[in-house]
Amino acid sequence: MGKASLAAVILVLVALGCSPRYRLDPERMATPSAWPYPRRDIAATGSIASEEFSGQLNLIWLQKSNDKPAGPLTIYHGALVYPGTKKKVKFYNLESGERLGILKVKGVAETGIIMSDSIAFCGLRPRRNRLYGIDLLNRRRLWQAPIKDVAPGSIIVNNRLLMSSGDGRLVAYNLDGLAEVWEFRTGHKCAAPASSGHGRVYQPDDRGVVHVLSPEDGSELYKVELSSPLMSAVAVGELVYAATIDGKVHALAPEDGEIIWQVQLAGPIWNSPAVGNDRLYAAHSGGGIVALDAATGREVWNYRIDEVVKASPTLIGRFVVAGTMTGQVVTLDADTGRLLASHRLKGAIGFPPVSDGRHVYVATESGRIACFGGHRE
Amino acid sequence: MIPVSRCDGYRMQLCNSNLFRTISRLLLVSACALILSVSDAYGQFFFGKNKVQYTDFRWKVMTTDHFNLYFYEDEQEVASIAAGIAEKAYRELAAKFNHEVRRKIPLIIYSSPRYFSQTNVTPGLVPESVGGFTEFLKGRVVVPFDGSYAEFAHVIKHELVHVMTISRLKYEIYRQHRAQYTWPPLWFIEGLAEHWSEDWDAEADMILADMVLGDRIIPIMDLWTIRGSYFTYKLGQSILRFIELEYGADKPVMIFENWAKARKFEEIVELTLGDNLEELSRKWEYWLKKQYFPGFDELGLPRMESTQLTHDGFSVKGVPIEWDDGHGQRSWLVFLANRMGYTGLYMKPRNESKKGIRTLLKGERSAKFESLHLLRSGIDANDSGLVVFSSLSKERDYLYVYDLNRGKVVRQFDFPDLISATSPRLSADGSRIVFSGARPSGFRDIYVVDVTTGNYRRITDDIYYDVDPAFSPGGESVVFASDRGPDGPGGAVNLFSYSFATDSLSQLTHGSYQDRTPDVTDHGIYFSSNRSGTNNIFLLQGDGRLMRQSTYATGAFDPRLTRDGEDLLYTGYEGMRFKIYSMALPEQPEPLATHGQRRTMPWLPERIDTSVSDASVKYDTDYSFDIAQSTVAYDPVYGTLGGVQGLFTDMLGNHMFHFVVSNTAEDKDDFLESFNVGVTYVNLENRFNWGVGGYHLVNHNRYFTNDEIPYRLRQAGGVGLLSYPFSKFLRVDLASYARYEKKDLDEIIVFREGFLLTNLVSVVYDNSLWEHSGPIEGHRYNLTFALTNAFSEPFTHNRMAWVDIRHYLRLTKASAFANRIFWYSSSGVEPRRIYFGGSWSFRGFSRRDFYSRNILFASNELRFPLVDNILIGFPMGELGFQAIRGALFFDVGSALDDKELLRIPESLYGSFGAGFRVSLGYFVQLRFDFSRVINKGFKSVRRSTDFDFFFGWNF
Repeated sequence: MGKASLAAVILVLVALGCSPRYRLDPERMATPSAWPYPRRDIAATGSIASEEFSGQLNLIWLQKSNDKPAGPLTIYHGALVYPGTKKKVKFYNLESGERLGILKVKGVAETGIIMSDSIAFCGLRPRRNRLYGIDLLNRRRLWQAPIKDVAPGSIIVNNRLLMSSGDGRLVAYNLDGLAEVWEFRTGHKCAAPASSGHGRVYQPDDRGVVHVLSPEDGSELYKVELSSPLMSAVAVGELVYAATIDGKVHALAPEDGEIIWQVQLAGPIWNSPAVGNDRLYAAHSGGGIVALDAATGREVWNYRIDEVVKASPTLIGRFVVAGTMTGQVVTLDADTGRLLASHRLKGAIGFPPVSDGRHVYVATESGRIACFGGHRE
Repeated sequence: MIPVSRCDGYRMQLCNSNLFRTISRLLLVSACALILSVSDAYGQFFFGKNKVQYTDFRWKVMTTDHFNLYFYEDEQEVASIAAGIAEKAYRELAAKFNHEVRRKIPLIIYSSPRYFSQTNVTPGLVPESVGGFTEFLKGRVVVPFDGSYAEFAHVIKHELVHVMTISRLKYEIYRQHRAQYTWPPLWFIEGLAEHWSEDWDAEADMILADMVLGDRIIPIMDLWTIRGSYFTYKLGQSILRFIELEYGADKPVMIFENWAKARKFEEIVELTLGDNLEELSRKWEYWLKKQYFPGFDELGLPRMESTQLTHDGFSVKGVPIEWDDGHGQRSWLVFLANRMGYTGLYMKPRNESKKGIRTLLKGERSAKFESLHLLRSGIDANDSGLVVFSSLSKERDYLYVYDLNRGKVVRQFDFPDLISATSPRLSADGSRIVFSGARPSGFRDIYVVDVTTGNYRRITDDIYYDVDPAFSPGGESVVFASDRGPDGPGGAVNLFSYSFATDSLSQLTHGSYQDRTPDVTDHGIYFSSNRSGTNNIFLLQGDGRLMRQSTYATGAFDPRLTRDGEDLLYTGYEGMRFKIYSMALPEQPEPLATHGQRRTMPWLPERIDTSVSDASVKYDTDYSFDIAQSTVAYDPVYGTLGGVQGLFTDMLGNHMFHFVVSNTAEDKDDFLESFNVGVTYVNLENRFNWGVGGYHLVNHNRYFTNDEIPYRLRQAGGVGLLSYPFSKFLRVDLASYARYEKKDLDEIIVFREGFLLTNLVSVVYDNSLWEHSGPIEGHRYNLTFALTNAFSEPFTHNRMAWVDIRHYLRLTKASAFANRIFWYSSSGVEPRRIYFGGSWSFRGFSRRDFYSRNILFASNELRFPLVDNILIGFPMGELGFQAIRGALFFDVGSALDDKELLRIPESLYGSFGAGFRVSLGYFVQLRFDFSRVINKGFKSVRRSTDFDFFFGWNF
């Protein structure tokens, strides 16, 4: 009897210690996905049109995960999706921060999670080198495909999942079955995902070339050679914007790739600019966030933060939100560049802040997941 | 400028360290004073050169955005400059690494390399060639200022790259939950530090051009064979440069980004670049050849186009003189060289012959000539046979005059207010010497000393880097190199002239170059400069016309015109060595430019904001953990032992607490009373190193009385330590142990119980030169005498004397004959007996074959090289050995009782054999000895061969 009691206690403790497996509630399917769904992918604009976000950084909730973020955060069906380095993807309630459950994957989900209806797609980093499609309604792995050294982030264009990889390939997979529809070889490593806009797909490579492809068959329409390696996805607005690690922002004409303007910033750029309000917001590792006129490249404002900004800035309505490698989150007035609020978290911020339009969510390398928002004081 | 290695981030020369000796000793004291009676192994640690704290620094701390900058009062201005440099470098590197260090970086600044060598941040001696280092336990950066702002900025930035590298790797490892991680190879660490701290320059070109043109390029996979050398830095820099240029500027950072995606560095490189190391190496070698071969048709190599005057080792700063030695030889070359590991002053006939070299003075063996500054100071000589040179003696530099006619040093010039005095040059009439001197504040100026009176005066007085002075032939002016020109902020060094008549300065050469080591002659001024890409010799004529004199692909420095005005002597670089060459003066070449004389334009180095520097506060001792470790050991006699030890030190390494905790209980009843606890505090702040401690030690039945009865020994007491170094080589150690001791057999028989006081004095000398497997030249001795008194006894409880003398006779570059004489004796009421035998003492015998209060022992060993740098493949991978050395040895000795002392020959044992010493790099040495024992009285030889395997150096 004693042994049975002991076993029961152990089982209870184990059960309490284990998180529930995440299963997508069919009712939540109706909740619109917020990020990166507004423009189908985060890399394209890095912005969300919203009047609800106040620009304030009042801490709404803070969660501590025992692993670190492995890829970008996303928001689907009312849940904040957190891909962790311990081969688990965690889902959090957007409002309360309550953990809804976990999804175990067989590797580190470097791409983060991108969803189509109830299917979650994720690419796993070396040494796993796999792409999985998992049905979250019944937690079943449906399909898998090999992919080598996948780039962080991915997009869905025309019902095709586009994934870029370190062996220089951009592959379009059928969402149903992960069969390869087409493949494009850049000839060099792709460290950043593709973007889409103007009916085209833009794939940067690490030799500073933007390959512009047809989303239908992956044929190359033209390519643009820039000054140094591209480590981030291009942003797409009226023009196409590519930032290179020598600190230059280039604006390209979507039709033929003509360089309309280019501006040199004060530090290397490892992230994608955000586009909106006829402006382009870029952050560089030299410790600055800059707003440029999207049409001319003229500098509108320049905010010196004196800390490395590795993650892309995010534009939420009239506010620019950025995180630094010392864990500082700042909100700037998108019009003036004035600092509106700042909050320091424990751990570096290596992935862009995400938003559902009301709040902003940030994950740090110490496993902190924070939700900010609140009314203007 | 001749390069010196600037950073020694990895190498910590524990082996020769006074501090290491101290720590080792304190460990032993804390752990068990009775080790004295257990083994002589500790005797190996009772040597070591001394790091002497000649100066009492009053430390302060300046806090900036990213640094805690530690400095002392004399260098307030240098500290402000350092803070400005460091903050600027930090921002640049943070952007390059795409990373932030989330703690204040401790940056410790010294205003002179002479002070820097006294730092306690690293336990080892700091060689003169080290220009700064990053310490890994607390992430401290330690950098000296030697007058050059450009070099100061370079070294600070270089070390900050190390800080960033460590931080970035920790970040990736932490982020990916990796318990074990790969550490990058040294070529990557140092190459990245060089690549991101300075532009590709003439010095780097010199090394790479020599390697490429001489077909000496080392493939990337084999760079471990030169680890620790300056070549690792420059080859690494070249590889990183190649990666950025050919694979993309993102790739160095992407290597860090990909750190957790693979297990081995080779895999990370392949994942990042798409090429494996072999392919990368092939492409890099091909790229180098394409870079250097095209220019080779217009350039030459020193050995092919000049007469090589010196041949062995490194030779620099050659001075031609016409001096009659009394045997008809008139043309001589006086030079500095490191031919066998030590730097010395030499002369030889000025011809190609390898013969006739005379050693004028051996440096680095005595306190008077601690360092002759091989690569940092010039020398001079005249036809009267006077040679003037600089030498470090204890803390400061002195100038010395050596008279060739009398064959000895005849004059010493002392400059009490200077910490450094280098590159002396005589005036033509020999009445004055001009030299570059540095004040304790760190700033370098030009000084002139009157040879007759010894009076000296400063002729420049400012913050600029003034070096390499030389008199004009008539003595009316001094030409020197300085960064005071308009290009100085960018690191340029040009030539300037000081006129004694007008007390004014004028700039002679211009441009962003390194114009150094002028020789002012009737032809004009010969000097070395990188204005042609690599360093070559140029002539600036009196009318301002500048002409190139040499066209070497590698490098030429230190020009000196011979008395007849027909040949030019210079230091040339080729075959990875500096040698002295003689070249005929070229036909009048086309002038490159005309340099007019200009007045100097002052500039000021950037400083941190005064509000920051003024807010500096007094340094408050700030302790943190250095090491905490547990140990479990098994001994066939003593059984299993375990314990924990830890070390707390302050930020400057001046204060340390060491503690040891272990338990020697043999059953649970003994547990509480069997704790061995030792705590020691050591103060290394001043020249007097002192320490105090307390301990409680219990050992159950692990020692034996004279009648071989095991006993338990319990000790509790305190220890006081004092060590005074007279110089780098000689010190006196004093120690006092006051303790309660109980010696019993399971509480049934109490052999002794009481209070004892042991006082111990040691005289230790060590000027040995080490190579891979141990000392190879010089000598060491340790003379120790101890008295133990019991408080309850009116007479001396016991006496102990210990003599250990070791001498190393150098035979060739890597071979030596070593001998050791050891005598131990203890007497009194309760004499101490020691164990003797084993690989580190009497080979052929086991560690406890001898147990006596009288030991007499002599060891002779012939050490010779077998293999250098060998890579052996094993199924689990390749293993590289830096060096394999051989040894033939013959030992003789005995443990003697009182009666046997009178008939030593009959009681002697002997052993002979051969061994191998395998260096696995850094501190790890494997020793294999095969020996045969000669039985007592030398009457027969045992048939069996004893094999011994051991980790450790040669004696």
